Amino acid sequence: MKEAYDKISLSNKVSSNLGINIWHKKESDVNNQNLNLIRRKECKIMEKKAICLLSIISVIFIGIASVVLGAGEEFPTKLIELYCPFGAGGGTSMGARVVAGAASEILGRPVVVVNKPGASGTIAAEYVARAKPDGYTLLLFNSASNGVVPAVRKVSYKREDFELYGQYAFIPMVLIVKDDAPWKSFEEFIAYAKKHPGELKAATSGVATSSHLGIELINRVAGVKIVHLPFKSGPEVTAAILGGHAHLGLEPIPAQKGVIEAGKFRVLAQASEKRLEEFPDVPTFIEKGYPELKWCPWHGIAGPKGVPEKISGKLKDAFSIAFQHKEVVEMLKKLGFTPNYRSADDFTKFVREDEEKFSKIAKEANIRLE
Amino acid sequence: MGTLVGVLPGIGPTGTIAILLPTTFVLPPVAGIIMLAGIYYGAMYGGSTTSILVNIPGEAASVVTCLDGYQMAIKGRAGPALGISALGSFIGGTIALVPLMFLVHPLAEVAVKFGPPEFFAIMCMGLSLVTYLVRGSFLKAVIMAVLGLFLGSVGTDTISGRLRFTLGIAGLSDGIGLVPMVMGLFGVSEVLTNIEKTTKIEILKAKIKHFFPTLNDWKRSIGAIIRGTFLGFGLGVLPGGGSIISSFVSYTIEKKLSKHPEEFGFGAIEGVAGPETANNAATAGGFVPLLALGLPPNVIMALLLGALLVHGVTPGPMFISNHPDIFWGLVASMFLGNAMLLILNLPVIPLWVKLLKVPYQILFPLIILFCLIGSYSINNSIFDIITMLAFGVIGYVLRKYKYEEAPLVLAFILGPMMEQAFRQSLIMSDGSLFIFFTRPISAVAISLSIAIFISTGVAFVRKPRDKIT
Repeated sequence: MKEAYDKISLSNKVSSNLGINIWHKKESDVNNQNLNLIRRKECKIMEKKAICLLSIISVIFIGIASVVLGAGEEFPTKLIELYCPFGAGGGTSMGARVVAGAASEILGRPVVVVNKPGASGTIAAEYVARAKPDGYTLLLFNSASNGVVPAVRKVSYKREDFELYGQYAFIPMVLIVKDDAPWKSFEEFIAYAKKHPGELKAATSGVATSSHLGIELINRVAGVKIVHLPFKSGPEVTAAILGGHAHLGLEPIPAQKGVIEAGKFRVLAQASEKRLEEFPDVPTFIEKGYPELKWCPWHGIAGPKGVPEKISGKLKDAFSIAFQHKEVVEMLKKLGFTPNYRSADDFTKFVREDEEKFSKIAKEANIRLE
Repeated sequence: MGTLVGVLPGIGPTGTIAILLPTTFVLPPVAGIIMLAGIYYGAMYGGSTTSILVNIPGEAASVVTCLDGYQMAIKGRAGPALGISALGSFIGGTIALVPLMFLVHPLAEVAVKFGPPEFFAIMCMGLSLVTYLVRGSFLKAVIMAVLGLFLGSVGTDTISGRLRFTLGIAGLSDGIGLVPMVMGLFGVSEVLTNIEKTTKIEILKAKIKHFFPTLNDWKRSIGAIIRGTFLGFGLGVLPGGGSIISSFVSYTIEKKLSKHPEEFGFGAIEGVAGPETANNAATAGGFVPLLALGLPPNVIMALLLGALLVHGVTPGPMFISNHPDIFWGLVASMFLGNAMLLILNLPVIPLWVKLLKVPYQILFPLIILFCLIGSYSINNSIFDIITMLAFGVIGYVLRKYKYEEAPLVLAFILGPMMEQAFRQSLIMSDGSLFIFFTRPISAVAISLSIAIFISTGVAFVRKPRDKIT
């Protein structure tokens, strides 16, 4: 089955991507038609009536068609919504669109990415947790809204409310300092930090983000005291380190790639399990004797618990093909992800372990947000 | 060709770019990026049209345009208002490209020097300008500013991550949405007020004298446009700075410099020209951190960044030397885009103006409808609609009692940013307040704002009148 899907040509996939867009446009950007509406007023009233009538008729037809078709056919009979808990345009959303494009191809129905940002992603997570378990509402299950945030704040959902369909990527993190910083290596850096507790400031993209918890983790296992200087986004962190307002950052690679490549940031260590292709000369924390410092945010897909087994099985199969598809992997790499496929069962086990790790650090570092 | 898509007025930039993003995967990188940039440009202009015609700021940066633009429309001068904002945008956008072309790297170097202490100092200046926004009572303006500060503090505190004033409502944990708030305060409350008085319709119908700015309009606006260009570009370059503040600051400067400060708030053309120009120049300025450092100053730029990544182009300090074709393509497209905006927008102005002849009883349900759809579609959130309606009612009450919305909005925007910058600065200095005075840029800005504050205070004490202009 997999080979067959591998043969799907690029043009095919792109056209399916376009299909999604048109759908998406209809759904979420109705507001943009406001001026069109104004202009429409300029049209003759007759014309307007005709348009109205036509659209009503077509809506009725679509309705009838979907009911009729839905009765006999197998899942999926209509479009599937994949809720992305973060805004359109962020890395998460773009990764979701890549995966959704491939999944639409496989399932034969559009998988539409719906951005529902807010409250660190918990609004979308809660929405999907409470959604009808029919397989048509999915969540971009990620280490922020489903890992870190529940560890530090009371949320109205738990992992058991979801059924996981698999993981598709990690976001690799690196420890960066400015190019003119005095520390050439991770050892020098730690030695300095040990001697000067409280002096070094780490810019992070906010409280209780993976970059913040990562810094706290370093403080814990290396016995140093680095002060956390929260900003609101990755780019702000980059600017703060570039401008010399903060000394270091533990940041996801995608946002920092350009600056690193230009030599303005020095990468002291990476938080992945193994050295990444991009940084073959940079040691991992594990190599430096800190096995606990394996710190990689993850992204996968999940749905609400209670989806009939037949449907969830189909979704698992579809996503396992999509996640391992050559072009999906290529595209994810370009976006800065580390593509990493985990089956539904492996992913569930992995998430459970990471969850414990998050709560442990949050508790020990006394990060609690209420 | 991308510009054509973008120029269609009124298409929200974020949504449009997000939708069209995957279509650019198939295009060659240069064409793809140019298309997205074109859309961005077009959409930035679209926002001012609704501000002027129906008092709905389509985006936050257009709030200021509402102040005088809508007043001009009421006085039958919607045409010149639209015209000057199109021309101002064109001039601002075009002139700002020159430093963008030649000084990207040095500008970016300077921009990153602005850390939290500098931002705090600049925002102090911005907030001390709040008094110039007022057209009525000074005391009421201060009350509104304080209310704005309070509303701005709702949500998650950036520094500690704790929730404040959310009343346990999840929808409030990110704070009150700016766009639903301004749509409610300006658009909805305007409709509510107008339903009351039927005479209003007559005024709108009354006399539409010119479709385009007159010579006199030009004389008054040209200075505003030039100042707006430099101001907008300068603030746009700062990462996290941006168009909203630049339009507010431009407005206050024009009011201060104007020979007719009393006209501001009642349809002064400079009050439209300056901020609109600044807004567009800031857009061009925003490309500096993006192209030189790979830092997107706002969501839309983040989308553009994503588009670059997909094409295997990593934005960053090496971008211009590695991909000169894309850089110059982008610059050329911005020139073209600006020109296209002008060519396509000027002819439709009479059409827009005619729209005001539509009887109000037909127009106002439509306005409400746009507001509803508009506020929902930002986050696909019903809560935003509730926010907007609530602020519509609040805005209505405020209008009844002659409280003005603009100081509230400015304080709402600046308050949280100031607080964050202040506390970040203190973390940086381990708690010492001297950090604001030992760093040159912030020292100058802080001193200036103290001076403004004292001078306004002295004027207020010496001549305790209600209105300071």
